[in-house]
Amino acid sequence: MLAKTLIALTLLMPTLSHAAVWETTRRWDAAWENRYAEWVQTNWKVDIFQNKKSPYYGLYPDCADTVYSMRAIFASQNGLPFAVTDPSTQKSTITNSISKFDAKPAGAKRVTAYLNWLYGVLGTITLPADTYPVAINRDAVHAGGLMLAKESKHSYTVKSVRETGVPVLVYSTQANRGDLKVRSWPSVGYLFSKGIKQPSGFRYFRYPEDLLKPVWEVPGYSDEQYKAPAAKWVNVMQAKLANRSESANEALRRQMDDACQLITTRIELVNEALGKMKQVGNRCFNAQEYDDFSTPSRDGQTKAAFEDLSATFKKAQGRNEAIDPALREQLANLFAGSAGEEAGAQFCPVAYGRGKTISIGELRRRLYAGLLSANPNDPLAVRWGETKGPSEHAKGCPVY
Amino acid sequence: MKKFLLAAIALSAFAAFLFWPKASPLPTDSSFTPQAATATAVPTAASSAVPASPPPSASNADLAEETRAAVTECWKEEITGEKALLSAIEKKGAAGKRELQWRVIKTEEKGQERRVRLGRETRESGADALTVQVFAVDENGLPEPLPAQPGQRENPSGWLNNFLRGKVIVEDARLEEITLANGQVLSLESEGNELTEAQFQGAGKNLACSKKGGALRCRCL
Repeated sequence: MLAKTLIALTLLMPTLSHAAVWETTRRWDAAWENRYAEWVQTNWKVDIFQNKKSPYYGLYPDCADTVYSMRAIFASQNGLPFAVTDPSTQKSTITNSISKFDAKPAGAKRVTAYLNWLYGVLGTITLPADTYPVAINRDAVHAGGLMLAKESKHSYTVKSVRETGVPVLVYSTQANRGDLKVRSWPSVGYLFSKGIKQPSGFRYFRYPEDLLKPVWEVPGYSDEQYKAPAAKWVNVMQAKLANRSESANEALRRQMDDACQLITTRIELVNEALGKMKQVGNRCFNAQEYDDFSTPSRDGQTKAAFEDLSATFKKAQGRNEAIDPALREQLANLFAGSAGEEAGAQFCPVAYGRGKTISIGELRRRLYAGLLSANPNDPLAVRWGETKGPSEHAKGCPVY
Repeated sequence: MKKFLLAAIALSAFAAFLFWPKASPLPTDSSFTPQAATATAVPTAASSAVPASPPPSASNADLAEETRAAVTECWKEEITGEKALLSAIEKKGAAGKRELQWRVIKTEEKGQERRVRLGRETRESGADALTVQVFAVDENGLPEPLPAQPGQRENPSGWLNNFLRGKVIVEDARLEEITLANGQVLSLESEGNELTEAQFQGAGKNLACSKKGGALRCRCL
């Protein structure tokens, strides 16, 4: 009896010391992919990393980390495998079976430690090796997938695809504070500034057994989306994903929401930059800080969003499509040439500081007049174009 | 009974001590030994924004029927040998604009394995920048990101050249993207001096080939 106990204990000890991040008890298949898609639609919420009641509270994922987290969290909750290509070798994998975190209590705490470590190892640049481009139809593009924009170093999770073929994208912003945002199509001019080509576009996660393979050997691989011209990419994708066409009012509201969200996020980013500047004693930002808090790309996106909105508005007017009168008024104010021309319904007031609120039309005019400063070393008034920059402080700082 | 239990616990602890994974400077399952080094010089490509692609090395084995058919379908030409096909791919990419996508270097620092990953990222300013990430390796062969050193972000090429100076390069793999004059994009992946994967992208039919995990095989996509 003693001998048996000793043998059992001897065999058990090393096993116990090698606990996986979570045990794999199932395999991915079509049924689990469906459950995953349902989970993303209902449980993939923007406050998952910010809600104190969430087991993943306190994680600070960037955009690619958010994409990986979505898949890993569901896999961990259901005993499914999660694996990625090790970007430090490109020929081995990192899975949920590793024992690196066995000192942490099993469950969400261990998963959180694992994710935190993965965040330091993975990035947008590693996503192509772990995912593959999909065909453009509702069976292939659905909740739980991702959109990658390599040139702009950005990635988005697909929360759902509307009946109109418009994706609902959830993503982490530049500030990486764990607060996720929602948007629809990003502007193509921003997303695919150098043309649409792999690895950008709609993609899906590879199964563990498909990692390390050439992407074109992964089951489900399709280069269909790269056959559409970049300028028409969004329209072609949307038409292929739609069950019904999007009305002018729907398209306008969607694009107005997008533009508004870009501006709201800019307010948060600028305030964060000002807070950081105070924290570092008003010294010039270093290269990393400058990249984190400057907004040239965001300002370019906002411009592109206004241009997309203007094109949709003109197209709807040209076709004499019914446009909600309130929407028409809001848009007329957005595109007004001066403050004096603005009257009636407004949307998205830009409250960028205490007692400092301007209309979105005024913001657009300042943006096009080149008054908004993308330089994080500038003060609030210059960042928002009250006065033309650069400020004296910014003049003395390097631009990265 | 108590004695039995105490003995069991003591023996288990001893067993755990024997079996517990120990931190070792180099993973035992890897070929990482100074003898395995394939190069001792600092790769000049590290200092360049557009590293040159290594020449392909290949046997002159006959291509499989499906691969020959794929080449004929995509290129409208008959190529029968592996070496000839790899040369033809290299030739097509020779005149294009090269851009490094990633490069992975395995080296050693004071007896410890170090892995270096170079990549390209677009900064918020829109500028294209080379990035360098250095990893230590734990006892299970997993990467542990090391904090960025001064200059690593500001001058990645210069920093990397300094870092690699005098170090043994054990492995060196890379992925490059070559934009051809006709607008096609050719992705070339290589390991050491050997081409391991190639994929053309562009309008119409595109050839994709791989030597990963076996013989050279291609598809006309």
